[in-house]
Amino acid sequence: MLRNYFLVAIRNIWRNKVFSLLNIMGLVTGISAALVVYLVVFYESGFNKAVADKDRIFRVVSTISFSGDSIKNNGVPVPVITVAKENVPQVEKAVDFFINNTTARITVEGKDFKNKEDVIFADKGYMDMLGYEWLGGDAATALSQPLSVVLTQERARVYFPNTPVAQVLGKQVLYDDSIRVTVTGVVKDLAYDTDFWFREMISLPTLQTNATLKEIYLGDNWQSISSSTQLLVKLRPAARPQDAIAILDKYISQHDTKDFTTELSLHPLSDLHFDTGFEAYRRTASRKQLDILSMIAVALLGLAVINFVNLTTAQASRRAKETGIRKAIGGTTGQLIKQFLGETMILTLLAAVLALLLAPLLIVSFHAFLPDDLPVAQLYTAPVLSFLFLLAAGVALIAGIYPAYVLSRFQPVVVLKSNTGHRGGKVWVRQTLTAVQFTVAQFFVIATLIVGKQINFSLNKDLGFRKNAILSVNTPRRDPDQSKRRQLEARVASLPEVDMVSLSANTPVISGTESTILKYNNGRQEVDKTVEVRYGDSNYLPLYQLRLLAGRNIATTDSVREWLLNEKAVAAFGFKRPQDAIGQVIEGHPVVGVVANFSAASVRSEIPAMAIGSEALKRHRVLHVRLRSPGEDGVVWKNAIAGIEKAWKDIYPREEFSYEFLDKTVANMYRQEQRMSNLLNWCAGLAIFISILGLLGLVIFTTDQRTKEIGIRKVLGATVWQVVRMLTTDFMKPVLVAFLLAIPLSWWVMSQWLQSFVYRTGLTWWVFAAGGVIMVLMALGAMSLKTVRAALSNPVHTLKTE
Amino acid sequence: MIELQKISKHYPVGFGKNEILKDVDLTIREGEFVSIMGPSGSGKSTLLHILGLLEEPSAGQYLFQGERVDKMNEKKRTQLHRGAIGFVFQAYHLIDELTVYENIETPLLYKNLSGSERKSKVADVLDRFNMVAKKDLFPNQLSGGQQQLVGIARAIVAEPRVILADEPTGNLHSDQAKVIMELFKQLNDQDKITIVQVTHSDLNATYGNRIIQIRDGYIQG
Repeated sequence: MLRNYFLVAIRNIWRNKVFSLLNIMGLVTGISAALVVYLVVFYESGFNKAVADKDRIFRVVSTISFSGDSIKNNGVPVPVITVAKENVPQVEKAVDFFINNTTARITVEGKDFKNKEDVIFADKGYMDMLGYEWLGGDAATALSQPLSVVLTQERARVYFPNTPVAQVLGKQVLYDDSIRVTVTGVVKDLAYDTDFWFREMISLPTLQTNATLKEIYLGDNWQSISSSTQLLVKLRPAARPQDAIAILDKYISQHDTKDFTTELSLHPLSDLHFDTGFEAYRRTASRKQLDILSMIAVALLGLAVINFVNLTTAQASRRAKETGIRKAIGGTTGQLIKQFLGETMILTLLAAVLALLLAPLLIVSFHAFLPDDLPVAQLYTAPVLSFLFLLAAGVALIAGIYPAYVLSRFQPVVVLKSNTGHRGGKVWVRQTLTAVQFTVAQFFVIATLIVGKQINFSLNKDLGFRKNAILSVNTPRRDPDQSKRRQLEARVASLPEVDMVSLSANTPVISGTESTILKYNNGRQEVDKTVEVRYGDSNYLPLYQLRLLAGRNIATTDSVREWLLNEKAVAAFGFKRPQDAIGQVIEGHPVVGVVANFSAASVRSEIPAMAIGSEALKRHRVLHVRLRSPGEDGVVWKNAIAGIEKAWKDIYPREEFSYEFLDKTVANMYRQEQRMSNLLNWCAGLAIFISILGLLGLVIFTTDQRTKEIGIRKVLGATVWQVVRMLTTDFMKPVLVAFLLAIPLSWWVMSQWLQSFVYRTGLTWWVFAAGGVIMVLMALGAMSLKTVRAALSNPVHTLKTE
Repeated sequence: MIELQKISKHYPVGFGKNEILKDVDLTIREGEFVSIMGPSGSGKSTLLHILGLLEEPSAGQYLFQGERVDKMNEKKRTQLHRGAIGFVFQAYHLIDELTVYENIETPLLYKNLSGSERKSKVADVLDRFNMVAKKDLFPNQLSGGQQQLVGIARAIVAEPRVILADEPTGNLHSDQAKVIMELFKQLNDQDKITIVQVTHSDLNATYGNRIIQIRDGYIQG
């Protein structure tokens, strides 16, 4: 029986090559999208799952509230560590470690390496909690002495290539030319997916040996929190997290002040990898993004299912005879449903196998939206493959049940009596499904256009300062020697290709914020305002062409501080006109000028109250360089950059030279939107692709059915255009209905999305119109593949066969 | 074995109804070879469909092997289709996607016979109809007469008590028709299968032992 079904299925698929191909292409697209999304979800949710007792392990994190703002920090104040270890009965084991974010240079056997921020200060407790496997060294004592380090196997191979583990032990690693440590152990890299990706564990006691390190990492201040101070706690089996937190809070609340409070919370290990406002160590996955991806996958699968239903029911008449015969010789409706479902299953399984081959390609196309470290090879592992199988079975069931019902319902008498065609299922069902399909596709098209429009708006918005032909060079942060920076500034300024140079702090626009609280006494009361600040020299204002509204520019001096305010800050401190602010003393220094508002961050946030200070020059670590016009082929800029690099190499021979153009910095702020746009492009493309496949299938089918009619009409004098129009009109209806449905849908969703931008583009009518036109043109184009040929066909041939 | 009592059949047409069969009384005994004749639209095919349980009468009683058909459930009717009744159609109605062998085998699949039983039965029939060489061909590779042979082979492979044939030679030329009719005769004589055929042809009717004339829904004489 099965064999019989199977044969019929295969022969049917083969006989209707065009339709099978259309069906399979749609299914392959949908299934591979779902497969990739599953792979991502599976991968992301697997993080840290393999840590022993993971349900009892938490990370202690802090939320700081001050003057109306609150900031989440994934570290804790250093004194909390001792409290957690000694005073909280619920804690079975507390493990503290410190992320080394200060080391710039690591030297091993004469070779320099950069800190990849995977160096930590840790002890045995850390190693035990994560379950490292030791390849060399003594697990009990390796990290107990100061100035010792444990490397993972991978890191050991980088530092000491071709050296057996036994010989790596005892070798030395030099941090920042000053801290010399000895390798006391080598461990295997953690074999499971984890956020604990650190590869170099320096012993905790090392922090005590060096005054600088001690000052940076082990500050004894309850109010100062660094995200490098990490505290993990393993609770006792039945302990409740809230009890542990209550005790910790009792200690920390003693140090709260009126406008500065710290709150601690326990962040479960299972949440560590996902964005809850607290960063994981290297990369944080977004649950929202996973949800979006899942919805997209479901949508694409839905489109493929609709294709299948439409194409199968449309040509049901071809199978009607078979149904009739089988029923007349003893087949039951149930058996026929099973048979047709089986056929769908074969088709879907075929599509699933092809999807497995296509998925890596899709991963490449979607890579901007997927985690960089996504292991593509995991596609071919048991959990993913079994998901694929279940998915195929599920899709087959959903896609197959209605067509199977339609096909098996034919009554033998009706079918066998006559040779005329039979309608399979209701035409309105197919039209509704097609409309749904095109609504989804249309939505993606409009969304793509709107996201593109917003990106365009963000990039071309007048920022209030010049961003072209300006690049910034960060000088070595930890180098205290300001005279070297001055030297570099002078060298760069003397380059003929360079227009202007400023040795200042941040660029006007940064990703993130740099703010401080400024006090102003207006004679009656003291006004405190949180103000975004930038520090610069006298060239800062002319270089960025900030517009001065009142007063004068700040002067470059070592000791005196002066303020420039923007219009927002003028209003915030209660001055009516810019002129009124001039000469007022804020935070002990006079306001000398007022500049027009300019963007300090992305268009997601409002332009804040801002102050530009001429602070003591020690904050000025960034060289801002404005170049002359790029010349032919940008040769001027190339020379300029080469010149700057040469000056750099003379002054900082061991440091790496890097620069960034400001317009690039601005563009990078919208990387998320660019990625979104990229993803939407793909979605729109795939959705259109699948929907058009379905439409084409329906058109091919009906046109073939109407071959004779077309012939007769042509004989009677219809023009090609009239025939094409006749064939096309019916199919354009669902496309147009879809357009009408997609307008409110996309308007609503996209205006929600635009809410996240303070400065945003408008949802103008022409975006929707353009989306509609694109869709209609695509649909007409696809249909013309078949209709035009049918209309051009010679009636002699089509009518002769009758 | 077949007994029709006051069978009527009508379809709704607009506000009225179109009467196809009116008060048909008919008895067909085991082993008969009956030909139903009549002009187009007289209701012969409808009568045959009612006999074959493919259509239900609007009024009247139908007893098949002494059992009231209208009292039968779906399962019982399917049983009859599988075992007791075989169909032969004018347009052959073979499944295009299956080979000759597979087409003949299909009724046995629905009867849930084992693989070896199916094999021997299909082989017997193929042998008897001299079609062993053609067993792997598809219907569209055969002539009309050959297709109808396959149709008959499929009808008898499940060893039915009665074969209902709806103008079995309607699409064939006379030589082929003769072969088919002789085959029916043989099945009736040797295998004692009851045969009911609908036909236009007086010649074909002579192969049977009873002729029923039908006109405007009434049985004549």
